[in-house]
Amino acid sequence: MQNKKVRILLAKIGLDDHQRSLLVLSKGFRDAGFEVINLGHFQTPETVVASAIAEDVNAIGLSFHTLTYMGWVVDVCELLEKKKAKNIAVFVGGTVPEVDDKELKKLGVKGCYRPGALMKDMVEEIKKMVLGVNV
Amino acid sequence: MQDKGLSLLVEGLLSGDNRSLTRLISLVEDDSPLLPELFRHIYPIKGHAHTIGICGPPGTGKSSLIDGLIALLRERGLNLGVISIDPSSPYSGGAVLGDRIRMQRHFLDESVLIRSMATRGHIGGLSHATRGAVRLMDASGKDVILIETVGVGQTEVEIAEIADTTVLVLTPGLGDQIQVLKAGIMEIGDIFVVNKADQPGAGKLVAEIDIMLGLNPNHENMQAWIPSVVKTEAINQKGLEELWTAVESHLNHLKNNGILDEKRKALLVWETVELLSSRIRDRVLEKILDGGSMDDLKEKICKMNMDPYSVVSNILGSSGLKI
Amino acid sequence: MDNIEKEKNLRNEFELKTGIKRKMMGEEKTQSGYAVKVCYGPDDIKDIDFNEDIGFPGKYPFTRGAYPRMYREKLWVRGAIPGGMMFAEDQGLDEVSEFKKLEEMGVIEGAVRTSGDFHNLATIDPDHPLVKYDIDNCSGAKFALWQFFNGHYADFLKHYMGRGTEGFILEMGHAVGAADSVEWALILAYLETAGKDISKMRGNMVNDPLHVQINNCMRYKQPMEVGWRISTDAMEFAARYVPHFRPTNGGCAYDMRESGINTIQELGFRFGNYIEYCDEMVRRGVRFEDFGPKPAIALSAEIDFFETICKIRAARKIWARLAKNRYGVDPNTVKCPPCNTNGAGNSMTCTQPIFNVVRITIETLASVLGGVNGMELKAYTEAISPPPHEASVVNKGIESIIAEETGLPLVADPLGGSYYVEWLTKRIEEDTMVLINQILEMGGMREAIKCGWVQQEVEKGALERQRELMELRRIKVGENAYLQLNDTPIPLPMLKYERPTVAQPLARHQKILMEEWKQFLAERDIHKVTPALKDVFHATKNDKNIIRPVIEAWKAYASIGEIMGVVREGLGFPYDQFEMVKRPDYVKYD
Repeated sequence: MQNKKVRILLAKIGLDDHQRSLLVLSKGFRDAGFEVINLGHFQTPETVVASAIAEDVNAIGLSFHTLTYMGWVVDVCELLEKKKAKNIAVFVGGTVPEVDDKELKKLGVKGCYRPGALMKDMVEEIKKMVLGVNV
Repeated sequence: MQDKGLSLLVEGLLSGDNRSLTRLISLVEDDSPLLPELFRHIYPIKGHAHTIGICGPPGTGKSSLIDGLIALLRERGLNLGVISIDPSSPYSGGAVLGDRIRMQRHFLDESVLIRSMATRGHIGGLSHATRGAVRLMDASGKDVILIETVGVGQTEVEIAEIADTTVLVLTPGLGDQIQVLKAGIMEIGDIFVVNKADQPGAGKLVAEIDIMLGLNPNHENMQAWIPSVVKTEAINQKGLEELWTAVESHLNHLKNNGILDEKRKALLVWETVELLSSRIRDRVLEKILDGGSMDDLKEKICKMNMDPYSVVSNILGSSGLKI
Repeated sequence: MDNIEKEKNLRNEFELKTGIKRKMMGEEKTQSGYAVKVCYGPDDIKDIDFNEDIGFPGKYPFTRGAYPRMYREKLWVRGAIPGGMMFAEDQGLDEVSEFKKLEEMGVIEGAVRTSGDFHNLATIDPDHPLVKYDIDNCSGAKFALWQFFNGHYADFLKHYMGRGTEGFILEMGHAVGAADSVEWALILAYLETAGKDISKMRGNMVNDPLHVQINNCMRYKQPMEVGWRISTDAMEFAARYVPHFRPTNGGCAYDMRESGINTIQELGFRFGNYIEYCDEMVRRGVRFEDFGPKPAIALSAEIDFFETICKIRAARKIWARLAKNRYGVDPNTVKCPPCNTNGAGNSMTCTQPIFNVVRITIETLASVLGGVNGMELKAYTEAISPPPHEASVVNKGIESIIAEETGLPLVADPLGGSYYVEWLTKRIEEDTMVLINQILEMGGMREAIKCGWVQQEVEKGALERQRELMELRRIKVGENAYLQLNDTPIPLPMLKYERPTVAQPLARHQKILMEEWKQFLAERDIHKVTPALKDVFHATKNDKNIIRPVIEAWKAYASIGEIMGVVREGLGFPYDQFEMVKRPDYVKYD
């Protein structure tokens, strides 16, 4: 019997020292039936991508609350490309302004979520994105 | 091999590629229809991995211990696989796999594959895919496989079937652990670790374990393994060398006394019976559901309003199965 | 939508029941939970003694003010932080010119407060793998003494951070203990290099190594022992060699308050930290008189008007009690430390910034009526973005109007004697003393932190604050109630800044800084760095005061990551707390 689950890796990249968002997201995704690997904060693009590949996850969720998040997302997407792991869908959340959505989509980011985004919307989109990509 | 994708993955696995390994583990977790073909090819390949199970109550520092062991074994140039298991929620089916976060310093080391797995409803302390994952890791050439299990209780003893060596981790100050853990888990420990040994009560705990082991009937048997007790302070990297010496000593004991082969045979039988039971259960349930859902069946049971034995006779009778 | 419905329902319910057309929402309690009567009278202050509890400003117990003539003698001091200015380069803005403009405007009057970049707070180097895009994104990144003499920051650093001996007050507001102390040593290194007498340096720094253990942010994995060691060494060094400098604010109550605790906890934890530092100084042989009165009492100015006023009055009283009863000073000769406030960020909303201007005004008023000696006002953009120049103009306006037009500065503690104010002040004082004693019984603040009790209280508080907002027990106009007011948005000037893009993830000033870092590495003499770092290591290991060796290391052109890396190793921790960077070859200890 098929027993497929969505595996998602969550992380904060860079020096931003807030973890609360990751804990809330971990619980939310778990309650939606996902298997969540939470790397915590103080990660680099290298540790995120290496872990995502090692754990064979379907999606990476990055949480940012700084002005300077864009470069990190660029690095993660480039690294995924280099390691031939573009099948892993990247989602970005936090204080990411709407004006950046277009740029992020061009990079290949599959979804951007702001404060106020509903858990159930995120879950639906990620499920669709991920199970659509990997089946 | 018929499936091209699968054969590429197996090729990768046998050449030591961790990426292929982790993807094949996913296939096992997802109960892919390719599994029979996969294991027909994998089974004959005998690696040399020493599998060690690490169990114990939450809060004893299992993850820190494993993190320290990984560092130690990497210094010795060994290639490692780590399986970290966490429970799936019985309500949502999801899980937070929270062990990896404690092994940060090894994320970029390509000779260590850390693979987090959820129990996905399986009872016994492991995931149903653990055995398959261990076989795959062995086939890919890992020297050591560490398995971190879910908590501890009377029923999480499955690890002893799968691991060559089972290590039970305790810490001082967690209450009257020995009394509580009399049966089950205390019987399966090949090595006992008292972690956070700098805390008060460590000496007392070691003594309690010694006494309990002294009551072990196997003392009479010259061939039997007497479990050793090791003190560690995983966070300070203390006691890990001693632990590893005890582990290697246990493996030698298994090899020299022919126990390893016996164990592996027993494991194959156990694994096969598990698989057989599981397949039979699935097939029978499929037949009984007859295209409907579990919810339909539950509703039907409620409507019947009879005692469980009569319900079962009724259902099996009308299924057409001769049981 | 949910909140509007709730609001309507509450109104309707009440109106139906009473026939009264208007009702306030929220609880009938102060922000920290004091249930208050409709009106107060003489009976409520029967237990209050004028001489013991109230008195006059400048006299024990200092309830009514630190100085006898209060604002007639000296108006409150203001500091300003323009932050994030670097990202508005395309409009010709940058930190130096902004500071200069503020000086001309009188916003900066001989005092400035600086903040720090993430990498400064974490005390690591700009080329650490975690820093990359986050460099120079918050405030000026400082990594070596070299920057005072080379590169684009040189003027700024010399002008705003280098005139402490000439009466230009610098307040260093990294807040994180290690970050403040090590940077103070950098400034001392500069002053000595420029031939100044450091014993004349004035200024202050937050330098509280304990509060980050509680807040759950700004810790950057720095071990508590490292922060404690360098911070207390800095306090001792100041007491002995830089007597006019205030080497700590004794407890960063503001940051702790922002994490979700209430007034009693704000004061209790602040004084808990303060006692740890005083006890440590006494242990080192420093007289209380040379240290105790230095830390300015820095609190938050919350939107609850009277609670803030009474909190400030109670704080001075509590200090006076501790000074007399715990440290044995003579109440007739002791001088009260100044008391400062920082506008409460948590009171600001991201909708209708013009309402924030009102909040800022109220918080300023509360601070003035509480008799503070310094304050820092938030910008109306606090919940949204870094502040534009206009925000500084608005704040200067608020403060000047209060100072010049209202007559408030003429009379000290004008609310003294009010039944309600004296009652609430006394309640706050008593409840805080109970909490302080509870902490002391646990073995002091450090022990309370080690066993996790303080963190638990903060977590509980944070959760409760969240619930209060969701259940409309605490109202924020425009955010969880009165939402209809947002239908008429009143825009105020915001800072327009250049955003990092995919094509340009690093802003120009960030690239410049990294170039300068490389230049610094290439130009310095590594043979001077090695012995200087060796000295820091051994001083750390052998329990000596490390400030002097750290100053000498700065002078030898060691970098912030190297100096603190060596201190970390001296205390038995990894060179890099993130374990991503190894100790370089040229850092040797034998």
